[in-house]
Amino acid sequence: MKYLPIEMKKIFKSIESKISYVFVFVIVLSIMLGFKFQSKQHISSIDMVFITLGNFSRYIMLHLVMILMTSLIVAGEFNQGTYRYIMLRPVSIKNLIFNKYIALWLFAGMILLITAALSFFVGIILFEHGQLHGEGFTILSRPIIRFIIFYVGTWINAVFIISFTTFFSVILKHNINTIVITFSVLFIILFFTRFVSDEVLDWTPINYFTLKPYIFTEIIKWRDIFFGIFVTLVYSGIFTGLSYVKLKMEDIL
Amino acid sequence: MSKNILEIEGISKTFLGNFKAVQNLSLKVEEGEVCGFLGPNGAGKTTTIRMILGLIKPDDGNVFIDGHSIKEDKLTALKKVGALVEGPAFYEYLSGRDNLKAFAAYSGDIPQSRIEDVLGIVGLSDRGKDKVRHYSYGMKQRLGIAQALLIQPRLLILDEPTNGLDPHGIQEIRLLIKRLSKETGVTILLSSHILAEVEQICNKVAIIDKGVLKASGDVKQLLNPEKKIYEIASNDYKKLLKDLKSLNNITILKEHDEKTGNISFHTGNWNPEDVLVELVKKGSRITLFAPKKITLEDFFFQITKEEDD
Repeated sequence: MKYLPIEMKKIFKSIESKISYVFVFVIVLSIMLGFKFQSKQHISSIDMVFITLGNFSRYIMLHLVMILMTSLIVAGEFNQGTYRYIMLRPVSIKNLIFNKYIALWLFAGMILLITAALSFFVGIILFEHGQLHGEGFTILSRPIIRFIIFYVGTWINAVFIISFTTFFSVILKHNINTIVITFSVLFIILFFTRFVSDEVLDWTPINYFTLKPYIFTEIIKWRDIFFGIFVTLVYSGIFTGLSYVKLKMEDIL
Repeated sequence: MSKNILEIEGISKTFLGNFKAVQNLSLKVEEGEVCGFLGPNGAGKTTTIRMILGLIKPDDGNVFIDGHSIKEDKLTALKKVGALVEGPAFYEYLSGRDNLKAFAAYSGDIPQSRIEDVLGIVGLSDRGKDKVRHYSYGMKQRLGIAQALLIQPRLLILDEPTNGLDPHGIQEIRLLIKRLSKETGVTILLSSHILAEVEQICNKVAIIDKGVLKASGDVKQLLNPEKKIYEIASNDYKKLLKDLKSLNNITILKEHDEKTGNISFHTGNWNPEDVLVELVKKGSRITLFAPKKITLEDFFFQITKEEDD
């Protein structure tokens, strides 16, 4: 992971990362204020920690942030021309992709951490302390475990959007095109999911973009959660493999 | 005899099924040489350079850098190669220094002090902290050379390093290249359009046209080596030309030079002194008779024009 520090530097010094923080801040606050103004009963600050990420993931806003950042870190190397200079170094494509993935994944983790912290602290101000509520406002046990599963699970599954965007990055080799096309494809896929049964979607990462349905039940659906992570990682592996093969086979013009 | 740091053996590349960008090119560059790589636009220079660097896979042939094959052992072959290919490329939102740190990280085990050294070599120490987006093109070119020097290369490949620069910028780069060659002994392969510059800097030249290597060798030896080409002038140009044409085995190369008005000819199997004597006997009043100084530009146009003819 010797390239990790430099990949992290590229992420954290970019304007895109600043945009991401502002985006997260605005969206999370909007969600929280929306719930506050709706004056829903029995919503606690703990609930908000889950509601914000649930909405953030459900409406693929986390995906948008990761598409933006992945396009910078991967597609950006091509349209800036830096890729050919990296390939003049003793760098293997495998190592390069791996380090970029880790850097992006750590960034996703940071975004989730900001979401959690912001939700919790603003939640304390806007909402009362309380317990975690599930469907029908039932009290759910083990909120800490559920919080860990929800956030860590979402974090693990972020690798799918990284690999998905990387795939389009190596094809399109342009920041803006990658953002537009990846987001469009994702949006189209999500649109058509309404015509597909859950039994089929359970075999795709789509049903695991948010793990809320498996956590916000009286008994945590461990099997579904682990299966979802497994399916997501398989798809991630496929897109990563395709990206690797494309880069390995083609000339750098 | 010096060791060959770069050996190109019969490389070829065809694009889109039928466009032959490079055809069976072979070239050797000895350690310490400064080799100019010349050719018109579209001749195949950049394609060749990209094949040398392993960015493009040749259809045939192989490239060896310090004995290591680019095909079989690319990572080892490139360990001591620095290059500037088709212009510099940087992360514009990072500073010059941060960009070099990035490339140093990819190169492996480059100390921080080396980054400062190369910034100093290219004269950008004071601007290292500024973002690259605020650099002029000349500064970016210099930073590009700095990134090529990070690993203390034994082979430095510069693909048109003065492209897009003003005359001051061109001179800066030329002086830098000369200094690098003299002080570090690095082998340099320099691709350029500026023939006069190549003639000044390089001790060896290779000329490519339409993907084929047309000529290569020591610059001095390529340019009128046997001193068989002479220039001659007279106050009575027409008589001189007539008398010259009357001599057997004399080949007129240029009847009227645009700049000097002189006649250039090849002496064939005549001794130059005998040619002079014969012309004087015929009554020509000679004002100039000397071996023609062939410039690289003359040679280049002659070589690339022959194919067109």
